[in-house]
Amino acid sequence: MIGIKENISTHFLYPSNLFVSKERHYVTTILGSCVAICLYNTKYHYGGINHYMLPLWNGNGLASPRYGNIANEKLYEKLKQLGSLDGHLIAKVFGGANQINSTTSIGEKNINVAFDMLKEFKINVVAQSVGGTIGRKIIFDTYSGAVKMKFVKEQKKE
Amino acid sequence: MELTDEQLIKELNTRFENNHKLIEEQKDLMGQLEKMNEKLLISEKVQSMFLSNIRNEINNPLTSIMGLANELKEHHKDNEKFHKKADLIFTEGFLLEFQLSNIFIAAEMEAGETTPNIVNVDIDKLIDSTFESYRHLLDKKNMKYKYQSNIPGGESFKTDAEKFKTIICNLLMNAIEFSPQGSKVEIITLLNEDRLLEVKIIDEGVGIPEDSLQIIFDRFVQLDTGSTKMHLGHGIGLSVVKSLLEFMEGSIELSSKVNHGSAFTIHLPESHSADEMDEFAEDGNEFLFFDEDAQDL
Repeated sequence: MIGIKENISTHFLYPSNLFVSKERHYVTTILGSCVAICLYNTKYHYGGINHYMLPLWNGNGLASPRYGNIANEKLYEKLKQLGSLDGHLIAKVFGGANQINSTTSIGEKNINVAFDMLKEFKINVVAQSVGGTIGRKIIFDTYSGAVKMKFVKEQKKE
Repeated sequence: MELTDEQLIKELNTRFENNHKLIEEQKDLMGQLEKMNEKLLISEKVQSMFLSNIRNEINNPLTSIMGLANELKEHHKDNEKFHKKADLIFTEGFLLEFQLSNIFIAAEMEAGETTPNIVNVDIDKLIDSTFESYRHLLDKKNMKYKYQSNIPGGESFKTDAEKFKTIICNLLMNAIEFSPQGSKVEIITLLNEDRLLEVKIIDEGVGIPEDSLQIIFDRFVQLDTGSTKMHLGHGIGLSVVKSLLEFMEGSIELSSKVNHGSAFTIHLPESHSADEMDEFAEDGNEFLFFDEDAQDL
């Protein structure tokens, strides 16, 4: 279990952001139809996480990690910049709930982008909790790679 | 066709040679690609660190230059030549600061390192002070401005003050840049019952043709390009506005008529702090996604 260990830094990850660190952090984020990929280096014990809201960037606005294709590429690149080799990386994928009464399946598209790109990067998905209609809160330990997840009562808008 | 053994061997040999050549060429190309890739990775790394490190190193001297130029301007009102030059230094510094601020924000957002800083904001005060800091640009074009507030007196609105100000500055700058001498800029605000803030920025400028309405929020798009380009900027402002609004869960609409002017309308819901977002997630079952070979927590 991830207990609250006082001396470990925490980080709240906002939507459209990403977080990568070699220092140990508990990263918390709350997902509705958004998707978060936790990438973890099993050899050197560090990782990173993104939180994107939409599947693809269409050239409108900035090329920010609000979009899956950009967020996933950036997360992967950042871990490689820190010296991760492909064989060391594993992934856990969360989120992509579909809103009740919603016809557009943004959640589903977000999930597809995650799995497609991880396949392209040749990174194994070792755990996942995706889809459904209920939002999730996750805490990612960047040192152990463990993720604690809770389903949340109320659904978040994104 | 019959081939003798000799001919066959000869043919095979030439084919092998060709293949070998192709493989060598491919290896060479691959090597070049790998080198290029390494260079790109390094430059990307330097770039992202560079921007965050250099932000303060640029902002501090620039603020000093502008402050001093403003002081010189105010203290030498009687000396016209001197006053004009000091004024020019200030204006150029102001425009430079504006462009740099947009570039820094864009870099921050594209790196996924934007954090909201939610405070209680007096919208009226913020817009008044923004107008005040753009007064020198408005005065240069003899432009009139008007602010009409429909926010109940003294009521504050929870949002990210800096990001909100950046949005207003960009839209105001846009209105000034694309408006003729002596025209008018107007800002109208409204706070409705659902705590949704509406801000309208109306100008009497050149307007935007209908077929271009879709692309003006794209990155690096400015309708007026090439050697006849008459306006400042590089089309980053509106994409920053759009991305900031999306980050704050707001939206922007635009109506425009060529040669009559444009009206940008933004809608911004009141923000919540991270603690409030966290509250509703306390109940429910816990799941742990844990790896066997990973360390115990």
